[in-house]
Amino acid sequence: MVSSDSSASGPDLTPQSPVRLRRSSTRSQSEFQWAPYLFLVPTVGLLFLFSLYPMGYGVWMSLQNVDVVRGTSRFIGLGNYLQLFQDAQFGLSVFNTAWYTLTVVPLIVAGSIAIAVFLRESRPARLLARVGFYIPFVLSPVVVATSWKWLLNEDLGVIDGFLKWAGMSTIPWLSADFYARASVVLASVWNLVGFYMLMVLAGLSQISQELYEAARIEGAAKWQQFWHITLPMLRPTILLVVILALVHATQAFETILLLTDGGPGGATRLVVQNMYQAAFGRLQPGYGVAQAVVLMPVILFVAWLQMRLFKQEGIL
Amino acid sequence: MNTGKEIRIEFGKVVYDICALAVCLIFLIPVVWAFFSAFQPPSRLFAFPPNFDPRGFSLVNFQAVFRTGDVPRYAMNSLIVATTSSLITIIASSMAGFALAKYRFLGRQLIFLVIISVLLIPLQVLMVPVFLVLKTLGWINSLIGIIIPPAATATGTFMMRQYIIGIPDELLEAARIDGASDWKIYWHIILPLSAPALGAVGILSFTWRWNDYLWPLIVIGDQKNFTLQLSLANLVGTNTVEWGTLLAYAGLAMLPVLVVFLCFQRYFLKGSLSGGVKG
Repeated sequence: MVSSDSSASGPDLTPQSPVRLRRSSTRSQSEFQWAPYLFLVPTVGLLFLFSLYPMGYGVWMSLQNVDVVRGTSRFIGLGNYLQLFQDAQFGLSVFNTAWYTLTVVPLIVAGSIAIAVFLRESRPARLLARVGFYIPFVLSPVVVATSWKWLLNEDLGVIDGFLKWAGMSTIPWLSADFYARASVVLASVWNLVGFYMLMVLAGLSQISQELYEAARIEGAAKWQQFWHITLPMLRPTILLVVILALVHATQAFETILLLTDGGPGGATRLVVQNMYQAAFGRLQPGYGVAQAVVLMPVILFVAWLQMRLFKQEGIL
Repeated sequence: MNTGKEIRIEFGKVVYDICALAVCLIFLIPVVWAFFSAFQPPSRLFAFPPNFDPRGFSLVNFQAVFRTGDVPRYAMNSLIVATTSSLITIIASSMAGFALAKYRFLGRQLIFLVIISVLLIPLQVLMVPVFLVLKTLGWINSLIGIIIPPAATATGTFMMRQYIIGIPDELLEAARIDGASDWKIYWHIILPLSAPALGAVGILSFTWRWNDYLWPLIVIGDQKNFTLQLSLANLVGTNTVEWGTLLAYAGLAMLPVLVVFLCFQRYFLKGSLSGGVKG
């Protein structure tokens, strides 16, 4: 491959020969032939072994009835999928994933904008926020879940402790459907909103002050400035926040697993956990993978949105 | 010196600052509370309002943590996993970033597109087939099984590419004229010049790998290969351990990441924000 490339590339091939200086950000085609491919080997190798191949293997597996104990598998065509569409548990987990995403993402977007706009005016708060608001984001899902499980603990927890102290009745945060769902959303939003808030803050700092100056001279009220300057100028940042938050929402699993274990009665069990339980709990990997395959179009759609955004931003 | 109006404005600003600072503090309550609770002796753990007086603090919970298992060993495992995996991430992503930023070759756009889009697919969705790949490789129940699979990251590749694009071509041309090989250019020019990006990617992936829970959960069964996160999660799941112990354990498990973050905070923010917002 190297030699065939060399013969095609003409006299400028050897590193010692003088190179034509090019002003473009990339090199001319007559130089460097095999090096970029070699440099890509580690990343592409990992990607093939742990993403591409598993993807294909997963699709094939979803057509099998795998017996983990005996180590055998039998081709059953679309059997797993047919079973899936009659599985009330799976239906519930799809529903759960939908409401989870549709509450967490808007809350993160609105929350991050609101907090950023509020903190922006205060210098000390902005400085503190750079550290404070990032902290939840660097914590592990295990630590986040532990802290929230402690806060939300029924009767013993801080929040119920406060309610009792204030003479109100306690709330079964993790054992009643509605509250368990609210708790999961609360913990997730808390976990992520700080990071996105900082992104919005960075976006805000790029808006020219002259725009606000001009608006003030024209007599625009604060909310008018927000509506007509801040929001439109923040559009690219907001788009990024929406898409990244979507990605996070589709991945949410670990915190929920520890916080509620999908309970009560499957009220907070998302598709990923359902898949995990089928594959590793009930030892039906084929059936588990079929759920991942069903989820795939959604994941690919989000990934596609992300790519489109990158393209629009001129990154790709 | 100040007119009444100016004083009013100053006063309003101070009130605003205080409100804004309060928002920051409220936001941190879950962590701060867990932290304070970790220092309460079991008898006072559930008291409300809680005790904030440092004289009443005790370390019994932290001592109890070390009785739950071989915690130093789990910490060592976490450290090994986080460091080696980050090193692999740094090397792989800077090499890929260099290739994608400074070369024009057949399939460049396609490869970049495939790398980013495939790496955007979360490992969680692929966990079952990846588990079987690891099984075939014989990596189940060993640390290497949690070090290698997450080592290629979209963020890493992306951040490195973006940073390396900014390195002037003239430098590379000059080195080339001096007869430097591609590897030498990578090693002696690209790597040193992209130190800030390498640092940011390294720190980010260190925290990710330190915090990983899903991979250890699936891959590691043997107690001696537990990471801190995995052993803490197991204790939280069983509900048999005292809350004080769990909170102290959580404090210990998050400490390294917090320290790394606080030390490299500027670095950290710049890296992830420029990688995220503008790119």
